[in-house]
Amino acid sequence: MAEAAHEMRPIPTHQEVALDVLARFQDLGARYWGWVTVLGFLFVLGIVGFVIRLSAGFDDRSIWGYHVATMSFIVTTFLAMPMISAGLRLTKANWRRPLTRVTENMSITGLLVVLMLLPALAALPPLEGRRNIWFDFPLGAPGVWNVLGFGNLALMGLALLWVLALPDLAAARDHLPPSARQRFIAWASLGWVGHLRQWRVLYAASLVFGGGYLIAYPLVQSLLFADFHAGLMPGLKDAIGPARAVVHGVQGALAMTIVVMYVMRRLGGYERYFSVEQFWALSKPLLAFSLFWFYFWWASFLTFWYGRLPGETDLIRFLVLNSYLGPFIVSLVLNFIVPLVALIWSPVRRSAWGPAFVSAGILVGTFVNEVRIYVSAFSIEDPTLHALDGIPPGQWPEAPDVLIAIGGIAGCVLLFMLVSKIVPVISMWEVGEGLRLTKIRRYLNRQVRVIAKSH
Amino acid sequence: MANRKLLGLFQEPQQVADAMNELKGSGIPAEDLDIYSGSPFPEGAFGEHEPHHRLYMFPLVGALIGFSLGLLYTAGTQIAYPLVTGGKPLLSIPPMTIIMYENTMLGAIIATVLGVLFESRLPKRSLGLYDERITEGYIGIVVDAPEEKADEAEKLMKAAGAEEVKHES
Repeated sequence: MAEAAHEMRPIPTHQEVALDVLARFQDLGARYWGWVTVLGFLFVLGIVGFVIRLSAGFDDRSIWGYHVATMSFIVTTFLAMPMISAGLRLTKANWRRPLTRVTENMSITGLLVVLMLLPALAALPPLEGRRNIWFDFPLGAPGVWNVLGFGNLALMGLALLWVLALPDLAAARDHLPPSARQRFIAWASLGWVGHLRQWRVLYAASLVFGGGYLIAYPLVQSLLFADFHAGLMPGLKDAIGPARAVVHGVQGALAMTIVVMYVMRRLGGYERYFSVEQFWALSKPLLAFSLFWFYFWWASFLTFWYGRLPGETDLIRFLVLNSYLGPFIVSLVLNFIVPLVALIWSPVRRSAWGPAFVSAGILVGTFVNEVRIYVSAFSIEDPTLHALDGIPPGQWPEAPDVLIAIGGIAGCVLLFMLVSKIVPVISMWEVGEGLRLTKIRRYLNRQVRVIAKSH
Repeated sequence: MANRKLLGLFQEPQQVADAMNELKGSGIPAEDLDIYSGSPFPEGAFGEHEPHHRLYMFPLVGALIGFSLGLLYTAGTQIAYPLVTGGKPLLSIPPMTIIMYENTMLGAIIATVLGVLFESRLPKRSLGLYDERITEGYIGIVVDAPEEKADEAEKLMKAAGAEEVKHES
């Protein structure tokens, strides 16, 4: 009885995985198009909201706050996901293999972010007379250098995705029936055949692009925080703000990865690839970064709390205790308290539903927190002051803001779904490599999984 | 004497390792043997020749070029048009750092993409001697053997368990 409980499922072969993934990849059924249609409709609604805002121009900066908050939410969740792939690959975590492609495919959302950045930059006031990181540097600041910074991240993500997808594009090229889609995939595979040299180069490129993504991401969060928050907030002196934003990004990336895996497991039939092992493993750093979330906020808050200058107490009232108290409480509960209370329990971590439930809350909390940070900053009328002139009220969303938020998020999911029919959503080569490095062996009275180190 | 290319298709990695040993034992240099696979194997798993690449040089050179252009642009323009503001230093280091960092990264990305293409010998118009089963998990040994050794190489691969040996047409 006890022995049977420790019996393990036989390990599938590379061929079984490849055929299974390619069969799902090939399928473009009514369900897929149904989802694409719904997401496309929501995305169009977002464009409508954006056009309404655009028609009002950029003179009233406050109407662009929710647009920037939505953009920042995407940067903090969807666009942060390739960091998971890069980090786990650098640490050679074997359990990463089924989930890395999901995170890499999300790098496509970088294109949407770059597009959303352009009106956000247009809404920024001139640099003259207000604090900024550009120190009156005249050539293109802040617009050109924000676009270059965000563009670099998008480019790096797409390069990471493309390089790591080459072997699977080749597999799709070889096995899809002839069609326009197959021809496009064949073109994108560039004639990959998988010889020794190509594998060595791919491995090296994954390190370069992965490492590059990890160092490009903090710059983007720093630019976001500096130009769209700190530079608009009179009296704000928050040295760890950008670092805090990066911590939020890692937490958001972990949460979004878990939620996407859960949805694919429940709705897409991917239980075989997203097992409890992946949820369990990701829930540990999720708990750690939830603790960091609070630690970084606390460290920043203390400066203002003990500083007690009039401008600082006004800022605390504005961002935490008064105008944005509601969003702050929601964020504190969903980004810190719930993850802490739930994920300290091993049975919760060691399940698919537990981390998914907590992660869904984290995503809601993250959006609300981005609203608190960026909508508040955009609602300040005169950013050239040295301290807040009174405490502005919180700004509730209007209909176009809601449309932009829904459309932005739907647009990201839509892009993911579209790109996942060009690049298989499970990395066949990486899973195949892992399967070959895994053996089931008997150890005393039970079976154990033995995983070899590949490098 | 012209060379002939063969592709032996195997299902099991052990068969590939055995075939590689036999082929090398028959006098075919390791440099003339290549492995095609749908996923990577640990280096040296088949006793294969280890191909060298210089991919890491590409991001380094690209980053250096990007950094230099960033420095030239930021420092050069400020020196060319010296506008001293409030007695502050002419070169504004903090924004220069951001711009140089971004240019460094852009140079590294572009150079690495080019490096991947160059070092992987991509794009290839024709797949050449290839079999679609390789992306399903089969492993191929490509032998670039002199004409007089090609038949022997084919026999050795079949003896080691090759399901099929294809010839370059």
